[in-house]
Amino acid sequence: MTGTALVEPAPGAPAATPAVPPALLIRGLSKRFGDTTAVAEVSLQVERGAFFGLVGPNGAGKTTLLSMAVGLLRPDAGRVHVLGEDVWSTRTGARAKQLLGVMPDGLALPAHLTARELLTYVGLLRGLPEPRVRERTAELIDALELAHAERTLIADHSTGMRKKVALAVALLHGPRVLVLDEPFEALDPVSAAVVCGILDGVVAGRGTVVISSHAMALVERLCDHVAVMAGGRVLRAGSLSQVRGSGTLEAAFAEIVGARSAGGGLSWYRC
Amino acid sequence: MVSLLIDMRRTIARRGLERRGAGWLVGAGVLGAVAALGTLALGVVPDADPAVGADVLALLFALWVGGRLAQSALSGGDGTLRPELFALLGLPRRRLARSLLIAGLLDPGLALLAIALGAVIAFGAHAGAAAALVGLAGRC
Repeated sequence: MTGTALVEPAPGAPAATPAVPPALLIRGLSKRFGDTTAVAEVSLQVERGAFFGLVGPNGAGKTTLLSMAVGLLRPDAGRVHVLGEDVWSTRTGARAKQLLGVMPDGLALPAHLTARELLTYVGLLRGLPEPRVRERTAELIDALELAHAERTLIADHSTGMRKKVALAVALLHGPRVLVLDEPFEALDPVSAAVVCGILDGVVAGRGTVVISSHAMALVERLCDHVAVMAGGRVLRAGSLSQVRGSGTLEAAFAEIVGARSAGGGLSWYRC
Repeated sequence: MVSLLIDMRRTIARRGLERRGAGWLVGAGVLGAVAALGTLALGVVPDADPAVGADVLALLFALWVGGRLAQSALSGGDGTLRPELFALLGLPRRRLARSLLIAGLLDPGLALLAIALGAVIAFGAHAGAAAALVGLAGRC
């Protein structure tokens, strides 16, 4: 994917005003929960048409950062712009959210609806005309292989099926920027391949995709830009080749976050 | 938006009841209606001692309100229309809040509560129109 770039400005650096606003511009985002700093002055820029991967160990602050970036969790400090619209401004916040398609981690979908019913209600609430909602719902159900779950309530879906329904909700209105928190978690390999194909199609259509994931092989295969996060900070960010160097992304990740071995395993299993 | 949310709420409620079975629906409906109409009857039928009648009604109202609060607390709120889903949709906040409020008021539990609390109006009516009005204001 060409024409994409990512920079991580120094914290506190004056924000340049680009002629064409980037897909996602994060400036100095911070969040504390009590004494714990979940995200510390993170700045990122994701250009239009990029496939951006956010990786990091458990508790790195990825979900907190993405939740603030899409307007679900109010930051203590910092700004977020989606295609030039301020997510946290009362004037432009709703507009920014309309440009976004979001799949948050652990979203509680209405359990007592089928996938088709949920997509129909969401589409109509978003203001799409009824024929288009019907058309897109049918296409999403087909593309994400949700047809056999059409008569099943979401309450009876597996975790993987719910992920796919949540992804369909995020895609329904044709957003220019997709932000997906752990989209491959709980998906079987066939479903993961289907989702990869759909996301590739979004980027090919000049959309922008931001994902967080622990699946390094998938991130390496899909993303053209990557940021590695740990302890609430971005430790390294750039193009995939810049971040991983000459090795694999997994090796680079382990080196960046300082992974340690299990040291011979658990003491009560040692001979 | 209001009509869509009401329709969504109705579908979710209907599906939930279908899962629990018709027996549960009939049982809960009959029990609730009997309790609500019974409470209302205590306000309509005058008691020999108004002080005792007032105490009984006060106790029943405490049970109704406490039961309603306990139901919300134990079930984590109504949960039919979860705001976190709508937070993703970029809907105008005031309009969404107003629509969710209206949709939330269409709850059979609230209808039963309104019938039961009607007892205070009926009870007040025995003492005159002014007392009935005070009861009406209290119920609202």
